[in-house]
Amino acid sequence: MPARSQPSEAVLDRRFLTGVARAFAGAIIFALPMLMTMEMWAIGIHIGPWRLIVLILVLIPLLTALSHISGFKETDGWLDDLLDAFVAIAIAAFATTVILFVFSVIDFNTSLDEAIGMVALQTFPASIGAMLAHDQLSGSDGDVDFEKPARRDTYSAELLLMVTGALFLGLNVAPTEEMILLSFMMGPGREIGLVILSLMAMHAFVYALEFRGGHPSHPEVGFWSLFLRFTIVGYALVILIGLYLLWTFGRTDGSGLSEILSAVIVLAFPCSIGAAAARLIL
Amino acid sequence: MSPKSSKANQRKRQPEASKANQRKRQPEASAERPPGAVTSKWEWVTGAVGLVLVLGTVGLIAYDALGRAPSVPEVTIEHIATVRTAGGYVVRFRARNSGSATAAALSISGQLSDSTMTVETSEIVLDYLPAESERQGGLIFRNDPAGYELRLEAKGYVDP
Repeated sequence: MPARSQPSEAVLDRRFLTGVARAFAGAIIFALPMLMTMEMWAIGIHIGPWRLIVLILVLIPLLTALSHISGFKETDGWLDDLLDAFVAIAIAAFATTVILFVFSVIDFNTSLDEAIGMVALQTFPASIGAMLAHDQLSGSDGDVDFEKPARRDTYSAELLLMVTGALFLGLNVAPTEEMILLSFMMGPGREIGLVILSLMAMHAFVYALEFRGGHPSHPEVGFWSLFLRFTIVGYALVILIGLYLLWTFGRTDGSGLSEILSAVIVLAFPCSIGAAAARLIL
Repeated sequence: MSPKSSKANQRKRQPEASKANQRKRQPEASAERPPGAVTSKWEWVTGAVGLVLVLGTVGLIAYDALGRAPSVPEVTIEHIATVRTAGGYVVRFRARNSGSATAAALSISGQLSDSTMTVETSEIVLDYLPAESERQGGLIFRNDPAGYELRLEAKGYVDP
């Protein structure tokens, strides 16, 4: 069998355009709930500048790592993953600008600072969506290969998938007033209950994944091994993500430690469901 | 088999190759290709746009953040027009914040007064007036503002 010939320019361009269309759709699917949340517009306007910069800088390694584990371009190096990250950002920024303009959240009277803040904030979830959708296609011949490469099954890759899932559900609710309100309404007893509920829900997903069609990567693992390596580590990551999101959205400002902890526990619930489900779904 | 992949097969002059073969072969074949050779030039262009967006955004935000001392909103209210409606006289205004801080819950009041006393007061609260931005709105009066002195003022705000 002869070595595979180089695809022509036209094939590459068409493949890329299809990838762009998918990324555009992915960006909108992922970010639409946030694009239609008024807190996100307000936060985009008055978010602290350094928090926005940190958010943008966190995005680049996150997307690069996501591109790396998505695995369809198996032998391309980190430069290609980095390129994919910036492609996702460009598409996401364009998609969010278009949507916010159609919604009239951004119009011609919007100042540049305002528009940049709102678009940059929304680009965070949108580019994750773009990356997830884009990599389903680019690099393959147009048909999706469901045989997952080994790269996805490394422990760090599984944790990255959990982080992505936690961000997906967490970003939807983190900017809203309800996170703080719920933490005010719930007493300490309910909060501890919610932690236990989150851990149980996470572990149920971990367990379900482990025994789905005889998952080959972790044969004969015990309950405690799974619980410690995935559920507990996952929940710890989820807590950190919750704290980071609340800080980014300015929900921790002026709050005491116990208030912040309550809000983090509330936010950790959707994040933990997202984290655990991501390994199953993504 | 989708029409697309069959076309791709023809292009590679391997019409006999089944899709399954192709799929298995792909990883090792791709190992031989030089880096960058399988990337559309438009991908590089889009990636460059993304890079410029990121650098531009971070640069602009950092420049703004470093260049500005903590500040307060500077709000001016400008009368645009008065429209007579069945519900009263609508005084359209433009609120402009030329400062570098955002005002939240900005209260704006309009007063109609003659030479001796205030005849009527109307107030609204603007949710947000971001830095270097403007918003428009209307205050509604029962009396015709044309017959009185109209004063439009911003009264107060909270930090967002």
